[in-house]
Amino acid sequence: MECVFGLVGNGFALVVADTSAVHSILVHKSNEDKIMILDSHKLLGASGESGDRVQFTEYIQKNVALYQFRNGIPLTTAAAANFTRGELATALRKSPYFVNILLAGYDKETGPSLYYMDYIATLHKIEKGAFGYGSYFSLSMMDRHYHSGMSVEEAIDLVDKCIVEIRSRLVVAPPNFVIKIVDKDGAREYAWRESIKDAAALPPTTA
Amino acid sequence: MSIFEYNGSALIAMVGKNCFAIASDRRLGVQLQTIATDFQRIYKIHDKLYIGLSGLATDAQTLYQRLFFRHKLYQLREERDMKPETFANLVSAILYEKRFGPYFCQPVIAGLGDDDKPFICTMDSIGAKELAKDFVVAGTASESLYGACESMYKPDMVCSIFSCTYIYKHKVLDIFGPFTKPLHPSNPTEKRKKFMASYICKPTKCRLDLTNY
Repeated sequence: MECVFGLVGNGFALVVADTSAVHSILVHKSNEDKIMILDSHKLLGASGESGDRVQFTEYIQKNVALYQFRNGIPLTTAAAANFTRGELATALRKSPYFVNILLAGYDKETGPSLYYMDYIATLHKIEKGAFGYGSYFSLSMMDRHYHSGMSVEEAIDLVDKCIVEIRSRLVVAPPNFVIKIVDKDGAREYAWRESIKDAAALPPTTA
Repeated sequence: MSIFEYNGSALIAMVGKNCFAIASDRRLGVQLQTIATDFQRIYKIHDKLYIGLSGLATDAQTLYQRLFFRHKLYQLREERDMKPETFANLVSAILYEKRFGPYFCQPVIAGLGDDDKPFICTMDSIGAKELAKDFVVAGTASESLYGACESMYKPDMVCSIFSCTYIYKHKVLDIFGPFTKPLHPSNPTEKRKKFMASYICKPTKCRLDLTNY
C-alpha cells in the first residue's frame, strides 16, 4: 500500500511519498521518511521492501557522495539514475532489491528531470510517474490535470488532489504524506500532509 | 502473465527495394498499467545498422548497453563498422552465453550490408537466428503482426514504411504510434514523415490496457 508519485514542473521536480512503515497488518510508525535527499540537487523517493529500501538508498547516497569527493564535481541526475539502474540490474540476477525508485533532480544545464526505475531495473525518463496501489489514482489525476510547465502552486494543488483521491478511494490508504521539492535552490522538504498526528507526550505523573 | 509480456512490445522490420524499415510501438507498461508512451525500443548501432529489442525492458536496456559497448570495441580494433550479418552473429552469441539464465528479449536486427543490400533477422531469447527475405516481427503482438504482414507484404516496395504504418493502422493492441526509420542507401538518416500521422493509430489515453480481456 505504499504510494510514491512525482512530477516535473517549471524549473522544479516534486516527489511525494506516504510515510507509514507497515509490517503485515501493523503500522509501526506514521512518519517514516521515504524520500532520501541524495545530494544538494537530487531526491530519491523509494517504495518497496523496507529493509531493501533503506539499505539500497543509503548505498546509492553514499556512492553519489563518494563520486563528488573523488572527482570534485557532483553527478548529473541522468548519471545518478544510470548508476542506480546499473546497481539494480547487477543485483537482479543474484539477490534482487525489491525497491521501486523515483529519482528527481535539477541540473543547471538541463533543468529538472524525473526518472522512473522499476525494481527490475527498467529506467525511463518521465514527466509524471507513480508506484504502488496509489498509482492507479494518482496517475489518473495527473493525466487529467497535469500539463508541462506547471508552477509550484499548481503542482502542489495537483498533489493535494492526488492525495485526496488516494485517501478517499484506496482501501488501506496511508494517512500521512511528505512532499519534497528540488529546484535550482536545492533539494528540500516542502510540506507534510498529516491526517494522523502522534499524540503529544503526556506530562509525567507525580507518584 | 509470462515474463516476456511484462512490459509489452511490438516490433517489425521489413525489406523493400534497396531499403528497409524498422518500427516499434512506444508503450512502456507494467502488465496492464501504462507507464509511458515514449519508450525507445529501436537503437542505432551505426548509420546502417539498427536493432530493436522486444521483451523485458530492463533486459533490453542491459543488452543494448552490452552490444553498443562491443560494437565500439570492434570499431576501435577494426577501424570500421560491423556488417549486419556479423552483428547478428554477435547478438546470437551473447544471448546463448546466458543459455540457462537468459535475457528475456527478442531482438530484431535490420541493416544495410555489402553493396547496401538490406538485411533483416530476428532471434529468440537464446539466440536462434531467423533470417528472412521479407519481414520479421517480434513482441507481444507478433501473431497479429505476422497475419498483417503476410497478407499485405509485396516484394520490392519502394518505401517500406508505407507497409509498416499501414500494418500499424490495423493493430489494436499496445501500439502508441510507431517510430519508423526508413533507410535508403542514399539517405541513411532517421526520418519521421509528416504524412505518417494520418496512418498512425491515435495514442489512446488509457492507463489500463484491457484490450486483451
